[in-house]
Amino acid sequence: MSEAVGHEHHGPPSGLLRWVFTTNHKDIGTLYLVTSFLMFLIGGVMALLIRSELFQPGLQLVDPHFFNQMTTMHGLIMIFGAIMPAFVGLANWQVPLMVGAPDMALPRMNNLSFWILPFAFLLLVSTLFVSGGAPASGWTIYPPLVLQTGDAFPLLILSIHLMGLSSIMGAINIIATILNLRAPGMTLMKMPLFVWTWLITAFLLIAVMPVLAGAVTMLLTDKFFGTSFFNPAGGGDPVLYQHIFWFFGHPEVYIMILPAFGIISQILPTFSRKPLFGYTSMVYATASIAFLSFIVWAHHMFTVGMPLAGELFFMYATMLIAVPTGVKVFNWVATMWRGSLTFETPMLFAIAFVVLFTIGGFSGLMLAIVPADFQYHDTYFVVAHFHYVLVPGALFAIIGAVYYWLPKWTGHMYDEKLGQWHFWLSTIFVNVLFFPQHFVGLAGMPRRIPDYALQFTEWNQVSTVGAFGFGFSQLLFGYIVWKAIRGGQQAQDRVWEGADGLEWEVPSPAPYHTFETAPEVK
Amino acid sequence: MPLASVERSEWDGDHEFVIRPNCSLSWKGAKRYLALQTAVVLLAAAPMIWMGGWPVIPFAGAELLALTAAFYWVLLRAHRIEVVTIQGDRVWIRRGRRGPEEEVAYPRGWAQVVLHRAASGLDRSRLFLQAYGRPTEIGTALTSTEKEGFAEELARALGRGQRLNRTAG
Repeated sequence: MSEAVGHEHHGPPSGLLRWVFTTNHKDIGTLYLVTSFLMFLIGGVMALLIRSELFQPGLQLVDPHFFNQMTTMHGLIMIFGAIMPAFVGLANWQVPLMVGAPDMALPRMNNLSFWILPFAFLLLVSTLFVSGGAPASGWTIYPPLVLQTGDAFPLLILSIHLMGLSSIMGAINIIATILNLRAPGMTLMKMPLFVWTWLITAFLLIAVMPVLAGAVTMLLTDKFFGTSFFNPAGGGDPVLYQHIFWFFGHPEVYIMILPAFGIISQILPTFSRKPLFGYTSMVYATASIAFLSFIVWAHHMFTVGMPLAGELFFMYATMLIAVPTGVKVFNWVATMWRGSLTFETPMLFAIAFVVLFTIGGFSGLMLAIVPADFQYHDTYFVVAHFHYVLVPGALFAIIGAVYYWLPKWTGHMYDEKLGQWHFWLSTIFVNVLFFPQHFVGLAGMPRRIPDYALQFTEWNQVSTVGAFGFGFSQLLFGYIVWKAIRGGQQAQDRVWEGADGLEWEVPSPAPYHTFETAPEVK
Repeated sequence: MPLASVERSEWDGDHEFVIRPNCSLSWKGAKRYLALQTAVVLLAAAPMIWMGGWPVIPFAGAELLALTAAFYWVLLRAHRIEVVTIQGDRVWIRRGRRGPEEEVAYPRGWAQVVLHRAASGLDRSRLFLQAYGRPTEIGTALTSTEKEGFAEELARALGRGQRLNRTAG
């Protein structure tokens, strides 16, 4: 009888098929992170092409249309292909470990939400090879410009729908896991900050993804089915698209930064050997930022011709975001204050995040001021601003998180010396890359142009040198991670002396199935 | 797979095991969350209708349906209780949410506990109660380690020299 039972039972597939059919949160987290790194490299090559063309005025390497395709694809790939999947990968690895759950609440849906992505990315990248080339309207895909896209247009819309579908399924899974599968004793206000920020991020994702889906569907019907949502000749309004897009787009900005806040709130207390200062205020600040993200969208479009009352409302609402963000920065600094600090690589990236993200935040405040924005709009100042938020902001947090949790994932310590090299190279070059863009932007250099006036040459050259330095530094990151996967000093269960949380209670590397018995929540 | 708790009771040589999956969210809590999320999604979508962007609505509706279905499924699974009762010469396995919705009975003397151990670290163990070649999987909400302990307890409770059969994957 026992044998008969045995025949019914099949183990999971091994080899490559394991990765195709896996429903394990750790496997899927790894898949997300690897995919994200590959997309980061593709988007990075596009960035280097853009910076190479801008090394000097005039047209050198590419024609203007291809340049526009590169700026568009770089934006789409970095946002939807690199940053977002990296955060989802970190959530997949860490959320169950941090709340004491053996896996995600919906493991099969988790598998599906990942495996949609490679097809979506393939569709997106394939647009480079179809007649008319890739979309060239900027990542915001504004009509009527985007409607001039050639055969790539339906592929673009389909890939955005697929990426959105994947995001929604991922968000549902994360919320279901956090709300349903917390270990006994883990109340909401005992959850680690990374879990809190992801809960709020998933809430935001579910709220705004239908808006993006609706917007791109309207573009599709305008192009192929004769509707006139955005066509003034048929009674439509192109500014409507901008409203709808940014109603999605601004919360999307916070979707890309809130999990970063959570990561920094995990790393800083560990290496300060102190509990996080103001945990409760951090939770409320995150929720406040999420709420405010819904009422500030029009600050992206001050120059379209809004009533004065509208401009004032969106200006003040935007400036209000500085309050909860300031609470966070204050709490991070207060956490470090009089702490017993050590400066391992994750801590270095976290400190750099606090300083450099704050620079991005301040330039955001400048852009929030309507009369100033009229000057800065569509200049390189805006490019510098959002790259400070997304690169030394979101990306540094992701890199810091990888260094922080890598020993738990692989069971091996990474090479600390190489990690420090990676940090210093990245931090120096990221500033060489983006800081000069403030200067050329304030001096009036427009964004999304392949050629520029002579007076912008020097700072553009500095910026290009920084881009190559930063880009090549990330190859070192890939090598460090690869080296840690292959071997290295054995990591302890509690990898970092000051680390606190359920993920440090399980062995290193974390077993394939964790929390076989209920963990004890203190 | 959720963690679960096993509650045990024993009287006059009879035993009852109640397996409850861990669930940190009540039905009431789920309803509250879904109401809040629905309100926010609809608040986000409503101005789109006013501005002429009605195609947002079907996407919002489909998403809310998917969200509700996902929560309903997770909660249904998490609130499904499994009761194994060993009383007299019978063994009952009852499963259900509010009351027994599914019931299987075996003669105590013939019932065997079979633990099919995971073939590799990637797999999970499976636990069966069987007689006459009719196996019924039990304790699906338990983790592999919990199944080990529960299987031994169950075999002991069945008594009369019952041994736990372990098979390898």
